[in-house]
Amino acid sequence: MKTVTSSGCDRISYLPINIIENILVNLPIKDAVRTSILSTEWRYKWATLPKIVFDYESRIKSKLIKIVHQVLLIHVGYIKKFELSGLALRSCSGIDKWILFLSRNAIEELILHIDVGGGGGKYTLPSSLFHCKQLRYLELRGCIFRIPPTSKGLGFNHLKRLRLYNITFVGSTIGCLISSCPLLEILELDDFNGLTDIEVDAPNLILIYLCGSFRRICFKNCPLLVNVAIYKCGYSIGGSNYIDQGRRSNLIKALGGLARIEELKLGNETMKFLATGNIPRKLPHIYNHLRRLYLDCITFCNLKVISVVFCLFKSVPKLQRLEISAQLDKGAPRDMEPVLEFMEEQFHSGCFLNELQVVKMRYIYGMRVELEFLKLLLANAPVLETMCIAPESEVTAAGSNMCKELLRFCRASPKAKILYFEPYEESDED
Amino acid sequence: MSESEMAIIKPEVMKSYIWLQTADGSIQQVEEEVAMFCPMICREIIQTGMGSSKNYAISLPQRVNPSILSLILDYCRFHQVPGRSNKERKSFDEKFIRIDTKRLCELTSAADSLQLKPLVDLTSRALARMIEGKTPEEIRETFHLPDDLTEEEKLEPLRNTADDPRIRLLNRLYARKRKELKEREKLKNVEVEEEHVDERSVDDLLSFINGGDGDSKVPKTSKHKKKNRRRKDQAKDVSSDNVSKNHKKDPADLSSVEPSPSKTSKIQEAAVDSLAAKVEFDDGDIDDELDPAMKEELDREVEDFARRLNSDWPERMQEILSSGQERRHAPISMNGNGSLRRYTGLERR
Repeated sequence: MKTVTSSGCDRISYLPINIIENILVNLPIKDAVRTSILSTEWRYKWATLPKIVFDYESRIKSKLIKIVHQVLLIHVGYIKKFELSGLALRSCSGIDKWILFLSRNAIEELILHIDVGGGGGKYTLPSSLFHCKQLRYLELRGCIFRIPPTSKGLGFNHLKRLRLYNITFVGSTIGCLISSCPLLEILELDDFNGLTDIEVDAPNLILIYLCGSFRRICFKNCPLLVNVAIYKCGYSIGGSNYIDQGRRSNLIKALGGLARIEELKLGNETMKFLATGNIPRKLPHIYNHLRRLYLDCITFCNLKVISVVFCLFKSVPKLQRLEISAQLDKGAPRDMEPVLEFMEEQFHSGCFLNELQVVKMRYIYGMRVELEFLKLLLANAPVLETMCIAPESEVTAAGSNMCKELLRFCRASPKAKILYFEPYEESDED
Repeated sequence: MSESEMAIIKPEVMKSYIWLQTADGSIQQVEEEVAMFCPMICREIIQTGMGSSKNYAISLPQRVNPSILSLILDYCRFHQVPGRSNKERKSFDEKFIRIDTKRLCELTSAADSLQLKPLVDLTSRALARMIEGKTPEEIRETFHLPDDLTEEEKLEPLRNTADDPRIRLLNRLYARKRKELKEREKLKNVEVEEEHVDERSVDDLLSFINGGDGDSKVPKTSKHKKKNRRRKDQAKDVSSDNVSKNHKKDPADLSSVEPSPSKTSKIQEAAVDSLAAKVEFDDGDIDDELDPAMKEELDREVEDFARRLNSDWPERMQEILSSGQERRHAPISMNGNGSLRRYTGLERR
């Protein structure tokens, strides 16, 4: 046995436990666990590690499940954060027990990316997930989320941020889940399915991002909501895609109750969804704080969609930034006259967009409607500073024509600049 | 806020100083804004009003000694200036932590007692960087940690449970070997100090073993000693080292095979045991049993060796499994000559 002579003395092992934890927390999980073979003092120093992170960088290629088991078994004390992401799971055996174990250890941050390869079905989350009452941040990916029918014992009283990617919901409403998380500030549902109704009743919610399929949406009690992004996908389960609500349009139902929002993003099929039903001349609410409006997939030939757009314009007096991405509606009538007339009339009747500073138009084809729209915008936006045009990539010959037209338009704002980007050249200016 | 309070109390003083006293009794004065950067000192000033004069110096916690205090004050002096850019602060931080580990630990401890969280985070991250990616030996050396874990304890963390009869068998082998190790320990303690450096080539040693009957222990020791120096290295190095060091391939490979859950170790098991008695370096391999990739490599080596030996091991394995303990006892109970005989027997193969 080597004779160990320590010429220096051991300073590190006797530092207070909170410092040791601070040090170990900055190590990848492998290195942290390896400290257990350094000396007797260090044997179980890692076992109280408050954050256990198995991510792509931890480079665990095989026997992941066994390793997680072992780590959790040896661990002592509460676990603040547990992350399992970026690693290929071969099977989901044991995840149930991990969640149960974590729920008993006051977990606050839970990140689970369960992308199971090999064609097996998605993993269904166990009900013990709802026992993790101390959760502040929950991020799940690639599983089935079973929402219990009653809201008894459902909620997370401390949950501030909820991010669900690629989730299949069972139990068609998410309203009771959201309402039982009173402190929820950020809600992100990306690529979800299985929901019909989305009812958002969240008094502390600040940001919501929805990208998935649903039938109805309404915002009930969101006084603090500032950022809203709705990217609705086609709802494929049964019946028609867009429920015609009869008289009242979806626009009012969906966007009512968003009095304090500052940023609104609508994309995918949301515009079509909002355009069903009778579109009012004006919305009942004025969004006094809305500064940025991002509209995707605007089919300029579609009168209903354009009506919705103008309806919005009239309700956003303080709008500063407008970004529109156009889309070609292959089934739409070629007759652009109704739209053109409508637009002219709108701009003549009222003044709006008085504070508009920046406009970005993407993927336009150079159609007459689009150019008319830009012309009317330029003529009616008194403080406009920049207008960026980035046409659709197929537009080549028509591109220079578009430029000529644009240059000809008269501008209400003396400061207005028009920037024309070649396809794919667009940089993110301002 | 309290700066203005101070200004009211002493309007005539252009720059006010705070008096700090460290645990060893020495007192120093420091500019007020620098001292206020430390939450603990700040609170002391506000709550107790101490620090305004030499007699009423604020006593700092015990973990803060004067040299560390000056380091901390340098840190505070730099960072309390509001106008600095993030880049400047970062480069200062990087230079700041370039001190020896002993001082770094003291600094962390002192910063923690003064509740200076940014400095605690900075030093903790620096210490973590010193640990990350290093082997246990390197870490022990950096921080002067005693290597006082027994081999058993080193094996335990994250060892995969023995759900395999071969592994269980192997564990029994290990337990046996540990016992032998302890016995060897008692015998060797004297010899260890004597034979410090043995530059004899392996050939010499082997010929010595084969030639001289008596004193078989000495060459064993030196060979063992050589191996032991490498003991704590990565298992990979150990195995490949042995392969290169020992010109006789067979015994080396057998030794490297020994710790793996292998079929071959059962075959050559008797010979392996005797070898193990002489060449007990393999615990170095076990050190890294934590690393799954390591284990896979060992497994591969084992399989390679099995193929090379080209023996029909399944039957042999059955044989060995069934015969169990008795055969293994044999080499131990034999005297030096007996084990020697076994060794040479192997050579002839």
